[in-house]
Amino acid sequence: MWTRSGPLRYAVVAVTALAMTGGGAGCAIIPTGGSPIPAREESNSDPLNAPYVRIIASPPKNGAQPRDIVAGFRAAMASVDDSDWKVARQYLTGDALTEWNPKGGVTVFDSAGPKEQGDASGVTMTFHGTVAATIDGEGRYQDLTLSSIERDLAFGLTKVDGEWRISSAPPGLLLSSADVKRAYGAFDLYYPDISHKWLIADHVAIPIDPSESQVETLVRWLLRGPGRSLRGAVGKVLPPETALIRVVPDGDSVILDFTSSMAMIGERLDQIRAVSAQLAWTLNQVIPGQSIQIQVNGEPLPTDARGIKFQNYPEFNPAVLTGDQPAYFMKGGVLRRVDHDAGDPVVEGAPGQKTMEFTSPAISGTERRAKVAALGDDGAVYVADMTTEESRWDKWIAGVKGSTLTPPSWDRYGAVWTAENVAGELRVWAAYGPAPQRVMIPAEIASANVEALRVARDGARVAMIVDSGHGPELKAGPVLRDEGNLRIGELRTLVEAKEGQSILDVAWKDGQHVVVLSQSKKGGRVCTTYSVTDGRSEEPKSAAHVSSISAAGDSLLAGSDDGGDGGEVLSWDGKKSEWATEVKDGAGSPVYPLG
Amino acid sequence: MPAPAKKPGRRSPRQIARGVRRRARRAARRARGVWRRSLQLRVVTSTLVISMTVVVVLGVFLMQSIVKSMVDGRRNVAVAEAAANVTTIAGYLENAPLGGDSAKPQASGDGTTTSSDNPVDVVAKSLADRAGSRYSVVIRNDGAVGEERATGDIDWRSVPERMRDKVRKLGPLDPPYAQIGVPLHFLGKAPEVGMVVGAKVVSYNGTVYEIYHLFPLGEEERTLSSIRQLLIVVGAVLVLLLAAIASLVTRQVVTPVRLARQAAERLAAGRLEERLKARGEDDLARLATSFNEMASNLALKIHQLEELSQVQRQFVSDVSHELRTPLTTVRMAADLLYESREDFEPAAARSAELMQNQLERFESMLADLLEISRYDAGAATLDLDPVDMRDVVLSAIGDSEALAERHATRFELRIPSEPCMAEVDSRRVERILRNLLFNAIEHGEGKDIVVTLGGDRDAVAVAVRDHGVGLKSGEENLVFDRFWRADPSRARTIGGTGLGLAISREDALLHGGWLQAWGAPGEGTQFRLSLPRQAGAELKGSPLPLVPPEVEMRRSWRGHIPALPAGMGDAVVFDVD
Repeated sequence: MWTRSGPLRYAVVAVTALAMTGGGAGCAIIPTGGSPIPAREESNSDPLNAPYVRIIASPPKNGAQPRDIVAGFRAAMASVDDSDWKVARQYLTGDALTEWNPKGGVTVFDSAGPKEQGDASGVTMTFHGTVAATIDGEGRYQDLTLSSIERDLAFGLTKVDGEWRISSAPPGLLLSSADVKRAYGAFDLYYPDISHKWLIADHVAIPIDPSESQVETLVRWLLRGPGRSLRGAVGKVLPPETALIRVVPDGDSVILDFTSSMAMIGERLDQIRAVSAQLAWTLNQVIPGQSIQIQVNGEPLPTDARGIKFQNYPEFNPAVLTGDQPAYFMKGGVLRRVDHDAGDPVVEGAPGQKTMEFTSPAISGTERRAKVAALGDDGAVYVADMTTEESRWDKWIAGVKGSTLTPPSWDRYGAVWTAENVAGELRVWAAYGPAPQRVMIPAEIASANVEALRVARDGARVAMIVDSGHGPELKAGPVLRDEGNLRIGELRTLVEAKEGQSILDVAWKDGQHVVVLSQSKKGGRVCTTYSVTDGRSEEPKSAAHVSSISAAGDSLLAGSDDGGDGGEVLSWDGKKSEWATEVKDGAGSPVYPLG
Repeated sequence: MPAPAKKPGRRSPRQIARGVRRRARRAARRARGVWRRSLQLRVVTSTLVISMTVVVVLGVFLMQSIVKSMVDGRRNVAVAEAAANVTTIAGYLENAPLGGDSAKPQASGDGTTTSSDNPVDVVAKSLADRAGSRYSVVIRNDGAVGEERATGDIDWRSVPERMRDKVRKLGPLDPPYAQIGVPLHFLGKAPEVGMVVGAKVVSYNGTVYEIYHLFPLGEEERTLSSIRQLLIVVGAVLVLLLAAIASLVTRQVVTPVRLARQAAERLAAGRLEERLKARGEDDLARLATSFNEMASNLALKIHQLEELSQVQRQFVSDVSHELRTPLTTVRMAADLLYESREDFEPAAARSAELMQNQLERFESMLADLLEISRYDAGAATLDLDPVDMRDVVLSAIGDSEALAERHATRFELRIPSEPCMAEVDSRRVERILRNLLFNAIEHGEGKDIVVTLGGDRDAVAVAVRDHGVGLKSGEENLVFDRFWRADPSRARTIGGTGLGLAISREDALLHGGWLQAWGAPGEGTQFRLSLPRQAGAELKGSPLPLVPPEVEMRRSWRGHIPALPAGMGDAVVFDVD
């Protein structure tokens, strides 16, 4: 039967063949002989988050010593796990439980270990240290390291049911610098300006919320709008009442799904572009290189055909000036452009001719036909074109006779800014043409003596050197624009008046940083970079003999003036940390466009 | 017959339930029937069941091995990574910070060491950077306060307590613990299944840190789930394919078998010319060939038998005819002898009488033989006339009176008062009745004979009942056989030829009627003739019962379920008019 049965024999043969093919294929499951291909490392990062660390808040342990109770409470305060601080409240009792308000702002306090003092009613733990900064509810970080405020903060402890609990605590959240570094993200939020053509940056400290991604957090903050420090100074593009529904990573892009009111922005191209740029620039800090898609209730919103990507919106750069900046300087009474190859040519038009004596020039833009504003010999502000031979100086801001206007400053909207002191009154002027406009100022500086006024290139902020009687101090504040009326908002003191200290010059580095040239009591001059948003400063650069400065991005130019023909234009070499001479022989007043 | 449910109106729930049950039972019966009849269905079903079992077993086995290898690989990678991380951070934590900030207090004693170079923060940050989104790290510590960290959005409660207990007891050189299948919770997103690797690090100042690496296995789970789906789909397709193949193959076998069955059925129904198509040389072709040979042999044999039977019948008919002529002569001579018997000696006279008797018998036998050979030849015809059956019965009884008197037997007549008309051949019907009556007288042992005439709309019936020895079980049909005798030893006392009942039955069948017998030992016999009122109409029932009503009644009185004798399956009790 075995030998005779044809079909059975065929079946056996077939099964054997199949088994052999299967077995043979076993060695070649992974295909051999492939060609080399570029092996890109698979990204292991979360598409919506930068890596971060949280502190784990644990409830008080039974039998813990006062020292551990306070430490546990401080750890619980630094925890971001729950927004109601339920664990932290377990450490509190009595008054502290009712009065302690974790949302009443953050005090960044660095201290050594506490001193323990016991008495009949309980134990007091006192920390001695310095207040490094404060953070308000709007995320405004105010650096206080320069002020070096020393303080004693005390925690009172009593026994409740045999366990130590905190009965009195300092108000608000008390965090250390390390806690802030761990639990807060420092981000720039970008808002479009009034004309929706460029972005204005606002630096904030945002607490990490582990229940949502950082992209969500940033978009939520953007939707909330700017805080006090910029409110009114920037344009409103994101529609109010809009909420973010969800954020979905989708390959190389991230989808942001908004509620229906977001559809409003689809009606105008400039609004779409402004919102796209705002999102692209803001989210680039968390998800660099990824593009963004905007959806409204799950439906894609028709946006810019280029795709919302940081790289696609360079013209919205809040720093205005990028790359190699054309710088200008004065030599021999005329304005020249820094261009060593071409022999530092004289500019065209009136500023290049000795038709009128002028000082302190300011350039209105990067293009060739920009305007030049300068102080004439009568103390008024004149403006002339740099293009044609027929250009002439026009008087834009005359000022009051006898008073001296501060050196002019251009903003990106095309206005020349200056200030003057008239009989104990400070007046700030802005001019888009020969008819200047009075700018309203806060009452605190209404009668101060102004020494310099510089408007930021983006036109959102202004920095002023004023002297209210204690000595010169540097203040900065937003420029509020309301239907064409200009007003300087709440000022923040960046450099406080100190005995013997004089502030010689100030220049905008970018939208958020100013470089300040100051002279200490001993006579040493230094250049220091300050952030106008959080007040942090960089290491001062020594600047002997420097009398004027101008900055753009990382470039810093200085004019040294020894009174005679030895004036030089210097540039800061960041690598060598020293000044390099650019132009010699009586050159001075170096200036970058705008600012 | 009970009237079928023809009641209009609503049906009660019980009726509906009964209807549903009936319908379900019917469907089940039909399914069972299909199952029993269809070879293909059975083969396909068993193929389905077996292949499904095999595929399920293989699939489970395959899936298990895939899961095992995948999880094992993932665990090895994860444990290696976790171990590398732990080694790195142990190196960092076990060494006292170099120089550093002199104001930094002892870490273990004081929870407020929140200066920027807190080693735990450094360690956690480096782990977070290294982990990215691949895994999360939780650092626990029971000793010092505020030294516990978690990275990303992991919920630190995801670390199982049992794991913590084990990790706390780890010795310095013990390998880390790994646990698979732990639900990982996150603060911002849905939980995921994952794996936890726990290790212990003791810092330079004696603080015990438990380091947990939590690896989400959602990706693996999704991969495995898609593999499982694929396996299920492939398995289902495979099973269906096998079923289809089985169906196809069986079809190839079953179709010829079905054709053969149908041919055999037709053959059985008498169509001997039925043949199968034989194609090829396989088993089925050989079956067809054999079947065809068998069919032709059968046809041949049947033909031969038919011919033989024909010859025999012809022979009987011929013999009967041929015998008549000499018999007529013999008869004439015998008549002569019989008439002049008084002149003979007593012995010779007795012989003449005997001869006369036997000749009469011989003649009637010949007549019967001729009659029956006419039936066999299919030459019998009916001479139909509407007659009143009462007249026919009375005439038959009149013919039988003389014989009855000789046997001291009386007739009891039960005849309806109205005329009972039927379209019959009265001569033949009379002959049947006469035969029945003679038969009853012969076997009636002198007891009364009951003759009943009944009729309904479609049929008429005559029952002849005697109270003689009766019939044994199984003899009800034998009585109609030719030359059959209940007791072979018993001599024929009256001129029975042995063909009377056979002829009677042929007559009844010729009318499209029935002639049936009932009998029980000691109870007597009853013969019933049922005829349709219209010639050619089909007979559906008889107006008279086959079993005499008194016998039936006696049986039910005894409380027995009437066990009808075999061969009386269609005994339905009708009401007598």
